[in-house]
Amino acid sequence: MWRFFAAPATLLILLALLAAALVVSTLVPQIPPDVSTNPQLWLALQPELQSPSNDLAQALGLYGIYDAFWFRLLLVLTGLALFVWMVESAELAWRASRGRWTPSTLALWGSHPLRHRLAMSRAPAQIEGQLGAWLAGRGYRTVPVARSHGIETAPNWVASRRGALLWARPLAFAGLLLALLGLAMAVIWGWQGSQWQPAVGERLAVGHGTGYAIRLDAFEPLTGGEVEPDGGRYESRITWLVGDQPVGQGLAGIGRPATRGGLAVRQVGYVPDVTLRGVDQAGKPVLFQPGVVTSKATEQVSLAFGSSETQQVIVLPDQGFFLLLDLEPASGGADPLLRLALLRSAEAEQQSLAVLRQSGAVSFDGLHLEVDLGYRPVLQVDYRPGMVLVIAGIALAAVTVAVGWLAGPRLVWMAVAPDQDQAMVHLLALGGAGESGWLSRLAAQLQQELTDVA
Amino acid sequence: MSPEAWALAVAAVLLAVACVVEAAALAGGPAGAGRWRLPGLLLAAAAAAALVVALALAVAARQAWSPFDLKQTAIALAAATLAIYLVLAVGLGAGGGGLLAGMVDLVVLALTLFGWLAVEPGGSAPDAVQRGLAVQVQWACFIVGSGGAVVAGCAGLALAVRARLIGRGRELACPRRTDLHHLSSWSAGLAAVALAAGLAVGTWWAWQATGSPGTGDPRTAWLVAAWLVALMVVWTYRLGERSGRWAAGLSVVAAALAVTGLLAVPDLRLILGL
Repeated sequence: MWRFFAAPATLLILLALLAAALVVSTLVPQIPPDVSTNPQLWLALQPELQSPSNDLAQALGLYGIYDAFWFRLLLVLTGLALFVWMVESAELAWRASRGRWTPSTLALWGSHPLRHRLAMSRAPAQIEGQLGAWLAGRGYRTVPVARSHGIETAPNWVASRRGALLWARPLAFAGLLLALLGLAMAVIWGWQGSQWQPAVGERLAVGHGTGYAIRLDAFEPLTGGEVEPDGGRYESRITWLVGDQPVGQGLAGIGRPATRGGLAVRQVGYVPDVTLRGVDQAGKPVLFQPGVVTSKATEQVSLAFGSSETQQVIVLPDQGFFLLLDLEPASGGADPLLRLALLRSAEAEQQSLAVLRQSGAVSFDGLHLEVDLGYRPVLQVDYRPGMVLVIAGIALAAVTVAVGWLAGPRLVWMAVAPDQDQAMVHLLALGGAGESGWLSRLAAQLQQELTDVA
Repeated sequence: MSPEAWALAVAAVLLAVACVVEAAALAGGPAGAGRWRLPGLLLAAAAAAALVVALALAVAARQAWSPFDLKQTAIALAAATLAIYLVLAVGLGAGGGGLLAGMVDLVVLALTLFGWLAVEPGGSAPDAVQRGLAVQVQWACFIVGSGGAVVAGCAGLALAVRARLIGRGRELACPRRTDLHHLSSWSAGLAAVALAAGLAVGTWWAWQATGSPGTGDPRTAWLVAAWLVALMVVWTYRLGERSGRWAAGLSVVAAALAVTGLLAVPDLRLILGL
C-alpha cells in the first residue's frame, strides 16, 4: 500500500483527477447550497437537465460534485498520497541534515535520478582525496556512505549544499495536506446559517447547540451623512447574548466579521428598507398589516426589499384599503426610487400617491404617513473551524515551493569505481528545476579540475 | 479608435515583426541564430512596453483596474507573459531566440488581438465584496501565474515542434533541449507559486467576506486546476531525467487551463447553455 501511494504516477493521477473534477464542476450546473435540503425539487425545475443522460449524471453526482462520494474519496486518497510523499521527502531531508546514508537509501533519489559519468585516467584512491577537497572548497558538505555488512562496494559519498532547504519539499507536501485537512474540518464540523436581514433591535438565536443569540444594535454607513452605503463601507454593530444577558459586542463589516468562540457574524450585503408610520385626522395612530394576512397589525411597519423583491403590499385594516410599495433598486450611483400607490380593492385601479427618492411624508384621505427610506444589513452566522488551516496550508505550500524553486538544494551521490586501468566517477543528483544543467556544469568543472591536477 | 486600441495596435505590429524575425532566426540555421537574438528580444521588449501602456490607458478609461473587465485581463495576461518570458530568457540565458521566442511572440500576439478586437471594455460591475484590495491582489497573482503557465506551455510546445523538426532532418537553429526544459521548469515554478499565492489570498478573502472557501466564480476553479497541473509539472521535473516529455505535455495543459480560465470560461458556459 505504501509503495502504491509513494509511486509518482499515483499522486500525479490523483491531482489530474482533482483538476478534471474542478473543471467539470464549472461546466455542469451545481445544486446551490441553499436548496441542498431538497435537491430533487431543484433538479425538477431545471428544464435544460430534462434529458435521458440526466439520470446517469445524477447517479454520478455530477450536479453536486463537491458532495459526491467519489469526490470525497478522491480527496482522501490524495491526502494519503501527500502524507506518504511528505514522509519520504522528510526522510531524505533528515538523512541529508544528519549525514546518515547507506546504500539502500539511494532509493530515495527516485527511480530515474539525473546521472552523469566521468572517466578518469587515475586510480580511484587518488581521486577520492581530490574530490573531497574540491567539493569542500565550493561549500559542499561531503559525507561517506556507510558500507553494508559483508558487501564490498566502491567508495561512495553524498555531497550536499544548502541541504537544509531539502526540508522545503516535505513542508510543501505538509502544506497541501494541511489545506486538505482544513477543508475536511470546515465541511464536516462547520456550518453556515441562512442570511438574515434584521431591523435594528431584532435578535436571532444562533442555534447549533451554541446557546448564543445576536442582536442588531445599529447599521451604519461609514460615508458620513449619506444615506446610501457606498463602496462596501458600512458595518453592523451587534451584541452577543446568552439568554437575555449581553456577553459582548462586535462590529461586522465587509471582510471584517465579528467573532466570538469560533462563531463569526459576517456582513454579506445590505437591502433597502422602508418604514411607515402615521396618524389619521383625529391624531390616532394608523395601523399597518404587512401583506401576509397572518401577521399582526402594528402602528409602525418596516419592510425589507430582498434582492429578488421589488413590490410589497401593506393592508390598512381600519381604512379597508391597501398600499402598494414598488421599489426600483439603486443603480449607477442613483438612489433607489420608491413608488407609493393606493389600491382601494382588488378590482380597482392603482392610484399613485407619491414617488420618493428619500424619506418624506405623504398625505391622502385624511391620513398623514411618514415614509423612512433606509437600509438593513444582510448578516450571516457561520462556524468554519478549519479555514485557518486551509489558508495556512496553501500559503506554506506557496512559500516552500518558492524557496525550493529559487534556491534549490544541491544533493549529489558520488561513487568512484575502478574501470580497467582508470576510474569511473558516477554522479547522481535529485531532479528539479534546472538540476540537469547544474549537474552538467558540476561534472564539467570536476572533469576540468581533476584533469588539471593530473 | 480609443487610446488603448492604438497602443494595442502598436504592440500587435511589433509582435508580428518579432515573429518574422524569430522565423528568420530559425531558418538561418545554427549560424544565424545569434545574429537575430538581440533584434528579437528588443522587439519583444518594445511590445511589452506597448502592452503596459495599453493596460494603463484601459485602466484610466475605466477609472479602476478590474479583473472582471475581460479586455483589461487579456491585455494584462499578454503583458505578463511577455515580461516573464523576457526576464527568464535574459536571466537564465536560455531560449532567447528562434523557436521558443517565436512561439511566445505568436501566443502573445493572439492574446493582444483578442484584447484589441474580440472583447469590449466593461464587464460586470464588481459588488462590495469584489471591490476589496485582496481581490485585486488575488487576480494580480492569478495573472502573473497564468503568464508563467503560458511561457511554460510555449516551452512545452517548442519541445514538441523541435522533436518533429529534428526528426525530419531540417538544418534549423533549434534551441537546446536542456535550455527549453530549464525555462519550462522555471516558468512552471513561477506559475505554481503565483497561482498558490493568489489562491491563498482569494480563499482568505472569501472566508472573511462570505464564510465560504470560495466566492463561486467559475474562473477560480479553472485557475485552481491550472495550479494543480503546474504543481504536477514541478514534481514531474523532480522525478528525474526521463520525465521531461511528461512535464512538457503537462505544461501545455496548465497553459490551456489558465488561458481558458481567465478569458473564456464565461463564453464557454454561454456556448454550452449554462
